[in-house]
Parts: sequence; C-alpha cells; structure tokens
Amino acid sequence: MNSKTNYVLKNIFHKYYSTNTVNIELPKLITNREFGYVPFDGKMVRHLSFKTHEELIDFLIQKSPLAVYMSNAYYNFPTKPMMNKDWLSCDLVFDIDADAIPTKCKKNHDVWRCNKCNFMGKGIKPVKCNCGFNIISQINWYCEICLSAAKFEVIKLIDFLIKDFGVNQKELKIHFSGHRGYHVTINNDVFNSLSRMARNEISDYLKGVGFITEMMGLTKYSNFKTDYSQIHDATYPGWYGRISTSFNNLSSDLVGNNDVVKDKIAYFFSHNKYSKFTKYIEKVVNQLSVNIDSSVTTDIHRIFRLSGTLHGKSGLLKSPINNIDDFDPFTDPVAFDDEQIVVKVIFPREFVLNEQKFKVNIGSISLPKMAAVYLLCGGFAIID
Amino acid sequence: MKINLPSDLAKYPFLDEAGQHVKKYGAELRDLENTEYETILEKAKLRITNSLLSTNYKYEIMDPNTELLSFPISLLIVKAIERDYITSKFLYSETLKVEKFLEDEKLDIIAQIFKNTLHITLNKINSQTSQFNEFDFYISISDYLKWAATFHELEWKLINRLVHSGSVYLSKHDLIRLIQNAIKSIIRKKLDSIKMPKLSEKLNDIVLEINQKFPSPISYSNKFDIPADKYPPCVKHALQMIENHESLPHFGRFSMTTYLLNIGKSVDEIIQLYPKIPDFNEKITRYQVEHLAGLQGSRTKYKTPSCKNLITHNFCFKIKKCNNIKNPLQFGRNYKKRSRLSK
Repeated sequence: MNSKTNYVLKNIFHKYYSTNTVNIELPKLITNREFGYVPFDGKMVRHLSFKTHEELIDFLIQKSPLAVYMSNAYYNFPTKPMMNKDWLSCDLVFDIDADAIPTKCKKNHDVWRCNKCNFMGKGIKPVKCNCGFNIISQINWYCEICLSAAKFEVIKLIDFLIKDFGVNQKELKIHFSGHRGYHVTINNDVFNSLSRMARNEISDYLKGVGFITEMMGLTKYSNFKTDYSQIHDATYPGWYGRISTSFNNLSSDLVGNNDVVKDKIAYFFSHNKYSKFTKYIEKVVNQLSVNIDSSVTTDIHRIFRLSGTLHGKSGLLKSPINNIDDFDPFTDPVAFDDEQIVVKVIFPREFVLNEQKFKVNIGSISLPKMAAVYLLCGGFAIID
Repeated sequence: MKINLPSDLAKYPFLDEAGQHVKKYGAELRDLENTEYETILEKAKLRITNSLLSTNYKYEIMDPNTELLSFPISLLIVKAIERDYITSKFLYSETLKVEKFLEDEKLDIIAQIFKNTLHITLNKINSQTSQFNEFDFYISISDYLKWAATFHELEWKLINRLVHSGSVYLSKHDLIRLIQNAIKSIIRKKLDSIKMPKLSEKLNDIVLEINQKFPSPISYSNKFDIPADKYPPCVKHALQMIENHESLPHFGRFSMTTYLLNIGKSVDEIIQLYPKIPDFNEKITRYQVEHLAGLQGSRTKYKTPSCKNLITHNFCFKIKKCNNIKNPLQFGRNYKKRSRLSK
C-alpha cells in the first residue's frame, strides 16, 4: 500500500468510526480483556486495556486503526506482559478460513507479485520468480464460491457443537470475519476453563484427526455375523452415527440391496478387504470433518478481531450473524456508501458488493466508496 | 455413600477420609522410633522398594491400619530421598495399585471417589433402558478432557469416544484408567506439600538404605551429536522446505527449532539454517530462536512438541522407524544409546 492510499484509507476509516459506533461490540468483562491494534503506519500494538466501552470507542475514533483486536481470554492484569497477565479463562473459539479450503476458483482469481521485478502471475505463488528472486507476495481474493465453502463448514461446525458438545444455539456467537471467513465463539463457562491441550482435542475431534476405524466396532479379525451387534446404526450419535449414515449414499453394488444401514455396513465389510473398508472410513471422516484452523482454537492467548470493526484487508465489517443460511458476506457487512472515489486499478477484478456488479480493468476509474475501499484494502487498486 | 471402613480406606490412602482416619491415631514423628511402629515403618519401606523392583506384583492388604499409616510415612521417605527417579517410580506403583483395586470395586464407591477427589460427577447408565448400555457411566466433556487430554494413546482421543450432548460415555475399565493421572497428581501434590521435618534415626537409615540400594540408572543426556540424516522425519521435512526456499509454516519452525535446541544445537547454529526461507529476517529469527531457548521473554526453554501435537498441526510425516514414539526427541533412541556407549 503506497502512502497516498494509506492516507486516504485512514481518513475514510476515521470518518467511519466518528459517525458509526453503533455496530461495535460492547464486550463483556471489558476490564479483563487485552486489546491490540494495527495502525495504518506501523506494527501491531498489544497489551492495551479499556475500563469502559466509551473509552474503547473514543480510542477507535482517535486512532482509526487498520485493524482492532480483543483477547478471547480474560486476565486479571491484561496490560502486563503475557507471563504476568494472570490468565483467568478463555472463550472457546473457532476460525473457518476460506484460505484453507481448496476450491477450484483459487487458481483463477488469486494473484502473486515478485517483490523485485514486480512480475505478476495468477494462482498460488511459485517458489521462485523467473527473475530468480524468491520473495514473492501472494494476494488472495475471495469470491462467492470461496465464502460459500466457508459457510458450509460453519453449518457443519454448528451441527457438531449442538449435537455432540451439547451447546445451546443461544450460546453460539457467529461472525463473518470481514474478509475470508467466519468466527464462532461459545459463550459457556463449561468450556472457558479448558486448557490448551483440551482445546487441541476438541479441534482434533472436529477435524477428524486420529480417528481409529476399529472404534467403529469392526476390526480386521471381526466376523460380521458374530460381530453384527457391534455395528452402530445411523441413529447412533457422534462420529459413529455420522459415518454409519454415510453408507446410505453408496450404490447397491457396494452395500447390496439392503434397506437397513447396519446391513449395508455388514455387506460392505464382508464383500471387501479390510483395507478398503478403512480407506472408505478415512475418506468419509475427511469429508464430514470441519475445516477449522486448529491454531486459533488451541491458542488461549490470541487476540481476535473486534466485532463491528472494519477489516483492513477488505473494508468490510466483522459482523454478527443471526441466521447463517440467510447471511450474504457481500451485502450484510458492507460499511460504506456510494460516494465516488477515483482509484487506479492494478489487477482487473469482477465482483458484487451490496447487490451491485463491478467489473474493473487496469487503469483509473471512479467507483462507489464501498467498492473503492474494497479494492484499495485488498491491494488490487491504489490511489495514484 | 461414604467411604469410611478402614478396609476400604486402606485401598485408597490418598483420600481425605484416609488422612482423617490416620490423624485419629495422633501419632507423632518421634513415636516412629518405638518398636510398636516397626511393622509400619517396614511396610512404608516396602511400598517404595517394591515400586523400584517391579510393578507386576500382587498387592494384598493384610492389616488395613498398618496400610493406612504406612502411606504418609512412605511419602515422607520419598520426599527425603528427593530423587526424581524414585519419586516417579513410587507414584507409578501407587497409582497402579489403586487402579487394580478399583477394577474390583463397586460402581457406587468408584463414583464417590470421583466426586471426592476430582469433583467429577459420574452419571450411571441404566443398562435396562439406555441405548448406550455397553457403557457404565457418562461424564461431561470438560471433565473428560481435563484428564484424558494428557494421554498419548489414540484410543483416548475425544474423537474415538462416544460423544453426545456434551457428555462422554465410558466403561468402568476406561474410567479407572482415566482416573490414573488424577490420582498420580493428587499423590504428587501431597508429596509437594510436605514440609520436611527433622527425620528420626530410623527414618534416616531407611533413606540411606534405599539410596544405596537403588542408584539411578544411567541417564542419557539430551545433548547428542546427532547427524542430520538421523533426524526424525518431521525435522527433516522442515529442513527440506527451507532448502527448497519454501515458506515453512509457524508450527514447522517451532517444532524444528525446539528439537534442535533440545539436542544441544546452539542458537547460532540454528539461525544459520534459516536464511534460505523467503521471509528471512535475522533480527526476528534470532529473537524467536533465543525466545524458544529461554534466553528472551519468559525465560522458559520450550519443549519439543509431542507427535500428537504435530499430527494436529499437520506436521507429522511418520515413517516406519518412528515406531510408537511420543516425541520427535525419542526418534532413533537406539542410535543415541549406541553413540553414547561407544564414547
């Protein structure tokens, strides 16, 4: 981002925070939270604390930073260095990131640029540029397909949290991150005191890491006739029930002409080698698992973007979601209006914001503020 | 249901109720010099020496009171010996003993022990009406994870358990194994809380005798000159990524660096490996490596993450040679032993 772009964006953010504070989340136990921010012209600043919500809002208006964060953890002394903060507890959080979901569209819309010769290419950055230089910037773009894939993961996550973990719908807070994914927070004291290792186990459970096929009740040495009772049917809860249900989707040449899931599993098991059975289970676990970022869930000291603030890479808001099915990440979190701004596009883009279609090519163009900020923040346009 | 019979308390001497029972005797340390306490002293010594000889012995309670009184005395002796090797053997053996008693225990007493010691409520499953009658109890996920998350075997992973509506379903056998770590930590806490008094002559003799009879086995220092081709596959993979100028993920950097620090590589030797990564910055790398070495910030030397942790972060590249190691530092243990012995 050049200095002119920086300057313009900072002013836009400042104007926004000066007139729009209603969206900013007023966190519970604010005095026990650590805050941090990234200014437009510097590095991350951490270990801040606010006594009141008003103090936090005044700070946002005054600093108008590129990004604002708040800890998921609660501390006695949030401003002290990490080892002296006196950790009390931490919300259980999940981050679903479109970056981690391999969608086919990525190769069409992601771009990279060599930091030496400025050569640009499509897709994932190579190890080395043709000029031989190896420091290359990756600039990712998130389209409807990417964010729909992320939303699908959120829906899977909610199913696990409610059915398996007994979380009440009211205890779930879902947010669009403002850029490339979703955050889910559980507001339940039972989970707040969990250690990093315990959170690791929850993460592995959701990601399907470490599943042992034998726990399904059938081993290499099982006889499906005598061990029939060990097979779980589709009504069984947890992973076992989910896996059993998946046999309903298989064709009759794999599971026979059976109606009952247990019979389908028994047929598949008895007509195939055990290795094929385990491979199938591995595949299903992989498909049914939730693509969360385990490093976020297991980090009990992390600071997380504050809800209701602007995302510095998109200009969209981190927004709370009431109904995930109805949420549109290209409409609901749009913060800016249609006031025109002239920008210089450096990567051609096609996108929809607030139900308006935009198709921009390299060169100067006047755009509504929401689209201009979107391109400027993403690094696809600059102020010349 | 209360556990108050000496015969029950003798099996579970770590319980508060057992402690209260012992207090009733009002025995003082100086009393241990009396001949009437000889059997108790002998029993306390046996608790320790047996744990050092074998864990596979049949433990029988002859006299509950001797058993109960010998427990705090054995703790005192272990504390006085002050050797990690003996402490860990003793803790293991005491825990195993409890585990064996619990296997034959009534469900109500098991539930009471969980309630009293761990503050965990066990919910009994009605075998007549429940869909999950292959299990005996269910407990909350948070209670389960508090203890099971430290286990290394895959079967203890939450994903390999029946998890439903916030609860984990367990058999009696699994529940007893789950309590193992908790009991160990309760006994350890008891040990830690002992303020060492001046020992009587007899106790001092026992301490001396155990120290002489049971020297610690040769410990293999962490610092070995392990050649790079003998590194575990996860470390080799990280080094290969650096060699290929690829951007090594944070966890890869963390595990590789902590591994190298723990096998005795210096901060400078490790920094020299990094310049090939695309975003190399010597100042930042030095700070981070020094931080992991315990030379910066919290001054804590970081441990190498476990294999389980590497699996979670998709940085495990297990090969046959890994066998069942729990930490990359254990890779090629035989090599380490051989190299040590050949010196």
